[in-house]
Amino acid sequence: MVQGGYKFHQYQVVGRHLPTEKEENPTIYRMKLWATDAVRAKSKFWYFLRKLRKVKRANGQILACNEIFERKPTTVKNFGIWVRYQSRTGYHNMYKEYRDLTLNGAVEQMYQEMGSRHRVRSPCIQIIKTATVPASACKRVNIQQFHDSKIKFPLTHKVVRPSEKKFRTIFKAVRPNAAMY
Amino acid sequence: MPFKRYVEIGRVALVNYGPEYGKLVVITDIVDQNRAVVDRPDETRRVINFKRLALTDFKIDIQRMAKKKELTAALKTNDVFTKFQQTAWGKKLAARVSKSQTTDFERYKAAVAKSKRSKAVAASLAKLQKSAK
Repeated sequence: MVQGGYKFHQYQVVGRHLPTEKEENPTIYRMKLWATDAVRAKSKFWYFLRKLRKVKRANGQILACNEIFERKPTTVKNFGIWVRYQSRTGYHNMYKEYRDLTLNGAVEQMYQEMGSRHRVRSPCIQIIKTATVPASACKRVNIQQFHDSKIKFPLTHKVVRPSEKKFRTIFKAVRPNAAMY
Repeated sequence: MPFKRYVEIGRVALVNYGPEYGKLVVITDIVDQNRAVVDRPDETRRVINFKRLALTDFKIDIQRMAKKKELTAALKTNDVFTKFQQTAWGKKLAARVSKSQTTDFERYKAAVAKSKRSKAVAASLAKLQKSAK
């Protein structure tokens, strides 16, 4: 089941090296990662595992692959995401914070922002770690400004939009008034 | 000119897009500069973009992320949804809905009644003008 219409979903993939005569009980590895579907999640799992440990797809096996869903998708949380990405010049690490209802939503925001601010395509991004950050530990000012239970701000710009997509027009008869008064 | 309506917790807003068009919701939390979490007694809490919201003059007194029970209680004590229907904005929306639900025959009857009335008005006005001369 797909939750919230996000492009990337969170999967947990569990795998290990195939049992051999030397090692009958190989270590089991579990990884939580984001992918568009389960097949790509397994592929990504092997990509990371062969970089980190001496296990390849050719001599390994997947034990489980499950999608992970948000436990409380109606509360706002602060998410911290640690990212490694490949730019045109080299690899960079980055820490980002987002406010969202789901971790998948925060990851989606991260992919969008990396694309817009740094022109990084999604295959070049590796998510190192994610965390739900308590309000006191948030670092980014843009996130901190929303930590106020008495928050209050006006909407300064009003654009009257059609009530449905089918009522959209390219040309308008009247110039819109966007002022808010 | 100062702003009258603010995005804040407890602000009643109108959804102005999609299948939910015309429904009143209450802002229960603010996600970021573009989105808020809105709630309604008969719906689950969800996120909505400010582009899809029109703020109203009403504000109810609730906590951030208020429970459904608290929300319904606060709405009941203030009776905000019926108050909104009595405002000019609410009446306009209601009139639009009732107009869209009329049949062709009903519209015809209304047109006939209107023309009869204006004929009577014009006749009596002409009479008055004649007597005034």
